[in-house]
Amino acid sequence: MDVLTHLGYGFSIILTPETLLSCLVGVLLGTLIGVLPGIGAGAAISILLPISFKMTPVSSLVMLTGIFYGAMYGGSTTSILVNIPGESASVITCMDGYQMARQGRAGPALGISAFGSFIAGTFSIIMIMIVAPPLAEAALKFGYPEFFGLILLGITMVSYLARGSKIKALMVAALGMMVATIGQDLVKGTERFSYGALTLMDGVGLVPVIMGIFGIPEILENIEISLKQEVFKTKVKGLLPNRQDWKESGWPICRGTVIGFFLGLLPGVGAMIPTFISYAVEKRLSKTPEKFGTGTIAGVAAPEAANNAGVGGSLIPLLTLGIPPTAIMALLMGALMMQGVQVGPLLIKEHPEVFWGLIASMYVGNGMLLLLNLPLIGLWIRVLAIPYRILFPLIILFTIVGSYSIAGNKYDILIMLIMGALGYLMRKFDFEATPFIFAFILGPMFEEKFRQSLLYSSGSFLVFVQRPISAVFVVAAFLLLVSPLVGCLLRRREVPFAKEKKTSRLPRRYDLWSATVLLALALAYMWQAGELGIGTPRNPSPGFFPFIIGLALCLLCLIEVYAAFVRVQSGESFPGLWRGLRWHKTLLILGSVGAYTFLLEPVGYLLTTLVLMAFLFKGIEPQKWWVAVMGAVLSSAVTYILFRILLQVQLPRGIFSFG
Amino acid sequence: MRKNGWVIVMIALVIAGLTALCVVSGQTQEKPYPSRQIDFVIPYDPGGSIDLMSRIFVEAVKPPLNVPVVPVNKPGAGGSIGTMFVLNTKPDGYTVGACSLGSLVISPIVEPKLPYKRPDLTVVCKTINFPIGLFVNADAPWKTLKEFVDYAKANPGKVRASVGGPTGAPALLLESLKIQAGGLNIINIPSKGGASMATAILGGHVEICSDPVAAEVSLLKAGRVRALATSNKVPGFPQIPTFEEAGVQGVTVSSWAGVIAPKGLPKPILDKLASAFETASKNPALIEQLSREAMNVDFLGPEAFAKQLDKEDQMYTEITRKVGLIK
Repeated sequence: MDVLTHLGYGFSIILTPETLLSCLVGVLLGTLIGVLPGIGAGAAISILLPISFKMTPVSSLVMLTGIFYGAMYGGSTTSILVNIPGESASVITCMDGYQMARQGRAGPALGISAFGSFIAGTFSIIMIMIVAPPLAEAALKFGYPEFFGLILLGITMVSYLARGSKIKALMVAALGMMVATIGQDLVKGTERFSYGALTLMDGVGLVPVIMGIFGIPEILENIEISLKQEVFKTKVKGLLPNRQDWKESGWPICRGTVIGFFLGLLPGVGAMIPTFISYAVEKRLSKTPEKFGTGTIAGVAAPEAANNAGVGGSLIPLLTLGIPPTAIMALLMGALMMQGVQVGPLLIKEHPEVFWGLIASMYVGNGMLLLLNLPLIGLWIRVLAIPYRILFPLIILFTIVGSYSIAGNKYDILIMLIMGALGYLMRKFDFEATPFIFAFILGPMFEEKFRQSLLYSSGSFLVFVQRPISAVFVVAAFLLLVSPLVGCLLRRREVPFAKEKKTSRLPRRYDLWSATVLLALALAYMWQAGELGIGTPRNPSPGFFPFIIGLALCLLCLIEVYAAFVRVQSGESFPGLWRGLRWHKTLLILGSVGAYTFLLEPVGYLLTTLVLMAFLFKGIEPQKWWVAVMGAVLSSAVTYILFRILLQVQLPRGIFSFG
Repeated sequence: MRKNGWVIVMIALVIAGLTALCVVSGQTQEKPYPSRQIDFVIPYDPGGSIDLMSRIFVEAVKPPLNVPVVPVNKPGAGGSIGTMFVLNTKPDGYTVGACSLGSLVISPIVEPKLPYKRPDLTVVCKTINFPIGLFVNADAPWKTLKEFVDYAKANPGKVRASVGGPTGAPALLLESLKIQAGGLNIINIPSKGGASMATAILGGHVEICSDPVAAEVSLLKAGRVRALATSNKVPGFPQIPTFEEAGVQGVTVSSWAGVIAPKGLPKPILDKLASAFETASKNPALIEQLSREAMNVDFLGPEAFAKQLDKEDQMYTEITRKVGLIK
C-alpha cells in the first residue's frame, strides 16, 4: 500500500502540463536521435542541458530520461528497417528484425519491439519500487572475477549466434576482438596497434564499426545482386503483431525481461550484453533454432524486452547508491547535481519528489512512446515502399553523416568504409557479422576484467574458481565449450563439429582462401603483439592478451582448413553469393564515398554531398535526371537542416565558408 | 500535376534557403573582435566533467563577449583529436577549445607519437580545478591519511587501489603519494569507466580508491565512504583535509581545465578572451553551479597559467618516469 501512496504522489507531480510537455519533448527528440545514427542520446542530453537548468529538477529529469528511452526505441527502428543498428543495444535486433522487414513483416517486428519494450519497462519499474535497495547492495558483490566469468560465458555463447559454421563464427569473433585491442593498454598505458594514428588511439569507434559491418555490405549486396527483384516484399502483411506472433513472443518477452533486469543491475554491464544473452537463451530453448536469423519474431521480442528491462535495472544502482552504470546515466546524474539534487543513498529521503516523480514519469514516458510509435509504424513501412535505387543513396548518406556527427572526424567515415569493405568480404566468404560485433564490443571489457582479476589476486589464476559466482560462470562456459566435442565423441562421429558437413555453402577453395588469409593476419598480429612484450601470466605485458587472441585465431584457421577438406559440399553451392556479381558497382560506391571523405573538409559539406548524392542517384542505377537532381538537392538540404541546424552538429564549411 | 507543383515549390524553397545562407555568410567583413560566432571545441565526450565545465563557462562568457559561443564536442584519443583540431584552425579567436591536465601536460609526456607539443598552441587561461581524493569504505579501520599510510607501510603489497586509467590524474595522485610517503607498495587496479571505482570501494573489492571528488559526493554525504585527503579543498566539505593538511608534503597532483587557442593568436584577441573568461569566473551563478559539481573556480591568466604548466611538465615527467610509464 505504501508503494501505491508514493506512486500516487509521484503521479501528482508528473501530471502537470509543464512536466507532461517536457516528457513529450524528450521522447520525441529521443526517437529522432535514435533513428539518426551516430549522434547518440548522450550528445542530445548534453545539448539540452543548458535549457534544463531553467526547468525544475523534476521536469528536466523527465525530459532527459525521455530522450534516453526514445533513443533506445528509435535505435531498433533502423535495425529493423535498414539493418543499421542505432546503438549497440539494438545490434541483435538486426538479425531477425531486418529479415522480417524483407518478408513484408516490418509492422509486426516494430510492433512487438514497442510492446515488448513497454512490458519490460513496466516490469522493471515495479521491481525498482519494490526491491531497489537490497538488490543494489547485492549487485555490489560482483567483483572483478565475477565479471570476468560472466563475460567469458557470454563469449562462449557467440557460437550460438551463428546460423552457419560454428568454427567460422569463432574465427570472426577472434577477428573482432583483434580490432578491439587497438588503442591504449589498460595497465601500462602503452599504445597498441595504432601506429601513431590519432583516431585509433582511443580504440576504433563503435558506431562507425557497427554501421560499416552491418549497413554497407547490405547495400552493396542488394545493389549487386540485381534490382529486378525488390529488396523488400512490397506486399505488407499486417501492421501489428497477430495472435500467432503474440503466442510466439509471450515467453521470450518474459524471459528477456527477467534476464535484462538482473544483468542491468550490475554496474558496467551496459545494454548490449543482456540483449545478446537473451537471444542466445531463446535460440537454445527454441524447438526450431534453425529459424533464428531468418525472421522469427521471438528473435526480436526477447532482446528488445531485455534491452528495456536492462535500462530499468541499471537505474537501481544509480538511484540508490549514486553509481551511474553508463556514461549517459552519469550525464543525467550530473544534470541533477547542477540543480542541487544529490543522486545517491539519500535521494529518496531528501528529494522524494524527484525519485517518485521519475518513477511515475517512466510509466508516462513508456506509455507516450507506445502511443507515439504505433502510428509511426505505418509511416516507417511506407519508407520501405520507396524503390531501392532511390533508398540506397539515402542510406549511404545516413551512415556517412552518422559517422561524422559523432566527433566531427573524417577518419570515422573512413573507418566505416573500411569496415564496410571488410563486412562485404566477410559475407562473400560466408562469415557472419554478429559474432564479430559482439566480440568487438566485449573484447576490451574481457581483457580489462581478466587483468584486474589477476592484479587483485596478485597473479593467482585460482581466483576465478575460488569465488562461488565466478566459479559457476567459468564452469558453465567450459561445459558449453566442450559439450559439442563430448557429444561427438559419444556418438562416435569422426569429426567434432560434424554438423559442418551440411552447412558448407561455398566451394572448398573459398574456405581455404579465407582461412589462409586470416592465418597470415593472425601470425602478423602475433608478431606485433610479441613486439609489445608478452610477459608472464602472473605479470602480463601489453602484448599478452593480443598474443592469446592471435593464437586462438591461428588454431581456428587450422581447424577450418582441416574441416574444409572433410566437409562435404552441399549440392547447391554458389547460392547467389558469387553468381552474377556486378563488381564495378561495389567499387564505384566504395570509391566515391572514399573520395568524398577527403573532399569533405576542403570543399565543405553541402557541395560535396550534393555531388556525391547526384553521382549515387544517377551513376549507379539508371534514373531520370530530374529524380537524381531532386534527390541530391533534397537529401543534402534535409540532412544539413537536421544535423547542422536542429542538432547543432558541426559540418565542414569548406571553400565557400557557408554551412 | 499536383505532384509536380509540390516538387517545384520544394526546389524553390531549397534555393531560397541556400541563397539566404550565402548572403548571411557573405557579411563577415573585418570588424573588431569578436564580431561573429565563436566555436568552443570540447575535446571530450558530452557529459564528462570537462564538458559540463565548458558548457557552464560558455553560457557565462556570452555576455562579456556579446556574440554567440557554441560548444562543439570533438572527442577522441584522450583529448588529442579536439586539441589538434583547434591548433589547425586560423588563429583569429573564432575557434578556441577546452584543455585539461591530460591533453596539455600528461599526453605530451607519456605519448611520444603525439603530433603536438604545448608550444604549438596558445594558452589562454586556466578556469577551474577539480579536487581528487583518496576514499575508503566507511567501515574501513583507517580514519586519517596517516593511519592508512602506516598500515600500507606495515603491509607492503596487501593494499589494492582502484585508480581509473593508468595515466589519469587519480592514478598519478596515488603514485605521487606512494613516492612522497616513502615508497609505499600499493597495487593499482586500473579501470576504464568511472562507475567501477565507487563499486570497487562499496563492494569491498579494493581497500582504497583515488577518484575525482565529484563522483563520490553523494556517497560522502550519505556516509558510505570516507575521504582521507584531497588534492584541493572541496566546496562544502571544509573538514576534509588536503594532503598537506593531513601531514604528507609534496603531493601536488591536481586536476584542472582551461582554455586554449591556435598558435599565433594576436595579443589583443588573447587579452580580450582571457578577460572575458576572468569576468565569467567571477559570476556567482557559475561559481555556485560548478561547486555543486565539486569543481573550484581557479582563474589564471595566460602568463601565470604558462608558468604553472612549465612547473607541472617537470613534475609529471618525474612521476611518470618513476612509475615506469615513460623511459
